Amino acid sequence: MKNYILFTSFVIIALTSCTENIDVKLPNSDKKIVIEGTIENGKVAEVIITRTIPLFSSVSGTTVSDLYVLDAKVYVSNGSITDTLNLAIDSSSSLGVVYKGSALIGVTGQNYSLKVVASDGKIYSATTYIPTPVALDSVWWAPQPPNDTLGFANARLKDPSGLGNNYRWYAKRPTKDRRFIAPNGATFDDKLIDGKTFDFAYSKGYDPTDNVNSAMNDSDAERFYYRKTDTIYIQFVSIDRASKDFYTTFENAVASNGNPFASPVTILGNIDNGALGVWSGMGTTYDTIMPTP
Amino acid sequence: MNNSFSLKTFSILFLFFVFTFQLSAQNKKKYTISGYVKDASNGEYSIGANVYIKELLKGGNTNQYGFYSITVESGNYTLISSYIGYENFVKEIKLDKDIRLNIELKLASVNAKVVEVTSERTDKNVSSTNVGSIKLDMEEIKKLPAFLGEVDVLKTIQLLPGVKSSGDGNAGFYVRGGGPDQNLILLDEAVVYNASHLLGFFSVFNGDAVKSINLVKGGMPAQYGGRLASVLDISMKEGNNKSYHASGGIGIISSRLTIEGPIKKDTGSFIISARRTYLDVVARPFAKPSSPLKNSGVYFYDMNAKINYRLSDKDRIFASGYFGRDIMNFQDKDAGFKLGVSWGNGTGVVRWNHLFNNKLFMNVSGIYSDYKFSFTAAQTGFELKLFSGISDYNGKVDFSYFPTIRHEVKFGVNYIFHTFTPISASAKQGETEFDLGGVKKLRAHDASVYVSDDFDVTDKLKIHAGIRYSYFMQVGPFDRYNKDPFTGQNSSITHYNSNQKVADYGGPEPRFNARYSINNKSSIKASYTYNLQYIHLASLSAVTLPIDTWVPSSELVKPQKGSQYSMGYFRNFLDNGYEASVEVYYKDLKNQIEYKDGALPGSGIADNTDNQFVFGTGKAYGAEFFLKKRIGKFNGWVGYTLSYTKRTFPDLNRGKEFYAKYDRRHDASVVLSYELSKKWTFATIWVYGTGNAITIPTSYYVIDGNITYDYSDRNTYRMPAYHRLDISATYTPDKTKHIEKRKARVIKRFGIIDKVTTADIQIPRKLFKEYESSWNFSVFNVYNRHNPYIIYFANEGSATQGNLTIKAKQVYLFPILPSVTWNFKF
Repeated sequence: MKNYILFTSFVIIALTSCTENIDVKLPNSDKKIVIEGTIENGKVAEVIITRTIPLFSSVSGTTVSDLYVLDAKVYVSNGSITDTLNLAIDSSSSLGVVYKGSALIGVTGQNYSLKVVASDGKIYSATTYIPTPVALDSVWWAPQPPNDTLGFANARLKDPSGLGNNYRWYAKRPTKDRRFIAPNGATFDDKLIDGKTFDFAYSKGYDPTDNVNSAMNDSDAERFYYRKTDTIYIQFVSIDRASKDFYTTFENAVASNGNPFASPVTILGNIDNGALGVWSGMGTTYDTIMPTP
Repeated sequence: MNNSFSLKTFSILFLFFVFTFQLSAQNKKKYTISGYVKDASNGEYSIGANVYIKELLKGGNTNQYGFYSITVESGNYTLISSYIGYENFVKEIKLDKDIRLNIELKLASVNAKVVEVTSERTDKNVSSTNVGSIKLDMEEIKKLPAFLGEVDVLKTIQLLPGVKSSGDGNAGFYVRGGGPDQNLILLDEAVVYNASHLLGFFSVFNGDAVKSINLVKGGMPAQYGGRLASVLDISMKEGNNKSYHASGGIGIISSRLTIEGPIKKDTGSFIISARRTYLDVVARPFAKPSSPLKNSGVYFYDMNAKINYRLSDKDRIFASGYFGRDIMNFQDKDAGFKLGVSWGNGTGVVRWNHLFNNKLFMNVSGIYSDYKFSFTAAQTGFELKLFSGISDYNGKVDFSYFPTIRHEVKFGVNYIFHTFTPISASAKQGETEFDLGGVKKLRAHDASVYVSDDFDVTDKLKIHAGIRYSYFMQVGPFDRYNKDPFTGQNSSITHYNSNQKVADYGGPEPRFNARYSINNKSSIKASYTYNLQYIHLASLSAVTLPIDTWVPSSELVKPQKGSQYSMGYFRNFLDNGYEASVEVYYKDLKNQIEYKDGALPGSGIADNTDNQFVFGTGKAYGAEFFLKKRIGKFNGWVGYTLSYTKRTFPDLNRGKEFYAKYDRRHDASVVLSYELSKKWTFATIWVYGTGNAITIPTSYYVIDGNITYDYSDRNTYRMPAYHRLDISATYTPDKTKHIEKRKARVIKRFGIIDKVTTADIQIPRKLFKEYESSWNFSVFNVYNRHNPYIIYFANEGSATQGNLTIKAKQVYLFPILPSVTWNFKF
């Protein structure tokens, strides 16, 4: 909805305006730590830790060690067992380097706390909860006219009555994507759909970390669409309120990136002591859309 | 603050009024001279004209309807009436009974070398109790360079010190650190909720239909209320009641036409004025057939109409109205995408003036005003409609009472019924209707009473003391969505029945202005005002957009409160040829309103809009300097403001104080016009303002592979300064020569050059007696300054591939823009 309004304004302005690059002298800012952690039912915890980077410093000039925090101590606890996470290389993770647990497996309905001790001794902590997953009723592919071979992933959800369900949608084509990708607008709640059965569709998400030169790269036609012949894995996740606030504000921030009319979106994280990011429990179910004959 | 203006203060003020009237009652035999002041050429009533007794150097100003009343002891006097741009009216009177004297002022001869300054009373800025109040004459405004040839009231007031423009393409203006919603904009007493067309490129006020503009930025008199920062009171012309006339202009992107005339000579008149822009029509042929522009367009139109009729010497009625719409269509057939947006104001006012006797004047008004925004978008089966708005039914009774020459008392009552439509939406995908909560209208009663007195305490000291008491009540039907503190979701709904009280607020609003004359050329003025504001406008975007919606005070939203202290030194030089002033102010604001971090348009759907707000306080202070040359061929003004505007919100910026978006350290304007000859007039404007305070990203980080920004503290970055130079030249061809030339052309065309001479062609004088035409050439932004409208950041490439770059970009709206407009009148 926001995009429509902003788009409207843009049309008016586009009739007369001009855009040019300018030099901006940035106010001073400190480096902050960025934590992106999840724990899923049936899986160990995964935490990616990075730093903020000054806006105009190009990444090519930034060494990997500037972006990644590789020397933190990371602990996850369910109150009785504490798991120490270790650095691992994982190609299905967004940045490829991730702290992974080993002893503690996520269980639906449990609380989990995260503690990150940075090399400077600063401690960042957060707690989350794995909600009971809500399984999708059914999933299917449907063409998007005028195309008959390109389309969206569709699903039917029976929302349990009672407000407070928050969802996030991820999808992956096993042969083409290296990881599960959340399309824009992937996070929603049951404010408007409480207790209802309803159908919804998602376009194919875009992975900004996908290598443009790789063989996996999509053709332009597939930018937002799934092919009729695609197999699609769906990861449908129930999350708690803090995670929903984080992911909705994050998605808005991404969507408004480069939009002249957008006002700054503050991403609402749930980690203390000035760290950015989220620690999120994921009550997950998986589905598969088979190629449509 | 509220408690300190309790009943006690009220009763002190009340006693004060009673006391002063008793004093005056003890004086000896007095008579009243009263009447109306009007323009001799067209019968238009003169607002704020001076009428005074020369021997006493005392008198008053005509009110909004041109009425004056002076009561003095019997005797022989010289009565003078003066009004800028007119010759003084002087009459010897023998006052031994009450006199009714209607005054007709003649326009000062067009090319007067110097307007005769016959008296000290033309030094109105020095002698009145008005602090921070400015009256502008439409004729003065018309001389200035106009953006694309459209004379614009709102753009002109932004050239005055203390009034800040929000930059190109922004609708609002800011007065002394107040937000755009803190300005009360009145067109013939009707509130105009969004005073801009095309996102602020033009104002809704058609220069041809406007008679006078009064701006109050400090020391707000008690008859005005409901806003904290300022009053912009615009009066429409009544229409010529002597003869029929038409006037208008044809410009590059817009044209306008006004027709006026008597309904019955000297008794009643009408005026109708209309405008339309045709940028859409002009641009269409240039668009490629495949371009979406082919089926798209942006335009506005508006209409003003007014009639008035004098029923008797004591009764007059007026009816006036405004209607305007901005329309925008966009259609991309290939993408199957269509959208339409429209917004605009409508107002209707019916007024009755009644004179009970020569000292007591009454006006009764019935007012309707309305602002609507609507938006529809459709794409392949999905349809979304959004709308919002506000409408008011408003009734007012105002009295002016002139008991003695020392007093001018005003009192009255006002009642408004507001209906708010916060952003509401309906959407459907194919046959599926989404539950978006329906239309949740909000309703409120808004009532007030006031009394004030302009009182000459001594020859040197004059005060304006007033008090207003206002009361506001939000009423049902209304559904309050109660939040579960744990999930943040709606947990229950509290329903209020029709007209059931939801929340109410009220309080006294004292107003006090004083002027002390040091001598007849200089004075010191001071004022204290306390205002309450019950309706609010919060804006989500960095720019003002027509989607911004008004909301009432509610259980969560407390009324905004503002105290303003101001002081000024006013001095005139060289026989009042120059006027100068220095004013300082300090403002304390409470219950200011902003959106929460992370709020989005539409997140108020199926929710209460006020759940998205946070509240804080503000303060503003500054100094304003003004120098004006009023008379002669070369005139104009220079204004400069130094100001600070700060806000503190516990829930924003981690509770730290921050500068408001429109905090402007330096603001300057230079306005000059020069009348070279009868044919040529030149004018120029230069403006400068510190850039807006905005929030920008300082670093980026990666979440789920996406680049996201980490922002600076709120509003710590300054956009580049805004400055611009405009020039204009107006060419008024000599009427007689022009006609002779035309005659010669006709003779040549018909090849009768040897048969007739131009002298043989007789045109009845009547036909062109009133005919006037002029060409206005103007250049906007002469040195092509790229003033930033928006600054934003865009990233290219990807962080994981090492080719990410982030660039700062600025959008500017107007390069150098020349335009030409032909204006006519007959």
